[in-house]
Amino acid sequence: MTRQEMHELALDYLQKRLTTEEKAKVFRLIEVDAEFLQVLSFEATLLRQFEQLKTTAPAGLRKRVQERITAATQNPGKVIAGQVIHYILKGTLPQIAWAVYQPWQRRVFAYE
Amino acid sequence: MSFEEIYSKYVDAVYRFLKFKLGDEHLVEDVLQETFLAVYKNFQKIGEVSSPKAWILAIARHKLVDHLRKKRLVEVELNEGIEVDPGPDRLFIHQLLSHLDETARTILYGLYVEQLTCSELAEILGIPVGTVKSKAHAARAILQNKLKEESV
Repeated sequence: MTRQEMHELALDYLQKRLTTEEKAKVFRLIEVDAEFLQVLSFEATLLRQFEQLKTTAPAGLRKRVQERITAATQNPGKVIAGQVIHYILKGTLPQIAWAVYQPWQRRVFAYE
Repeated sequence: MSFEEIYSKYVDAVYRFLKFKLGDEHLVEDVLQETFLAVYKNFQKIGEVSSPKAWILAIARHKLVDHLRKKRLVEVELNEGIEVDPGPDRLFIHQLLSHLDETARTILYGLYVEQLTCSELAEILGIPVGTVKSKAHAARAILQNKLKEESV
């Protein structure tokens, strides 16, 4: 078994994607192969680190985006008008005013 | 499955992916919306794809690249990466990943966070499965060395 295959097997084991036979193979390797044990420990460490990135979309954002998609697909004319205004303001407003306008616009659309 | 069900099922995965790549919440929201609008417009294709999650994340990646190109945040490639504010809890993993190129970072993110297969990642990134595997292996070796250095 190559080192790459060891990593793949160890990760599949930790992510619970193995068949009974494959799990038995992992248990055997844990008992007899120090290199595999080291690989398994490394994969567990990486998984723990990556756990920190497992965020979920904030409820407000989820709702806002879904509402905007519904609006865009049910009333495309209104959305096109909104986009035209958006680009006109983006091109004409000073940068600082644009920075204030954007979050305001999002709030207004969210509670429309 | 209806569009609403697909949205509920995959919105977190797309959000996480965009947050990982962009950091900026406003930008994430814009690209998330563009992604799901594209999903809506191409909804009839979802029955034909082998992995809806990989298909949606591939759309998200395309939208992300388009968005960044439009904003001129990237001019040649995404390889330099974007400065992301990870927040204090996620600092270590971001520091660790900073030793890798953008493609390798995305591959490891897909493998460890989204539990994607190498085939799904190949579909998302538009590269051969073999390249995904070899890049993952090389990235692991780099991170293993970095972790060893950290523990010394």
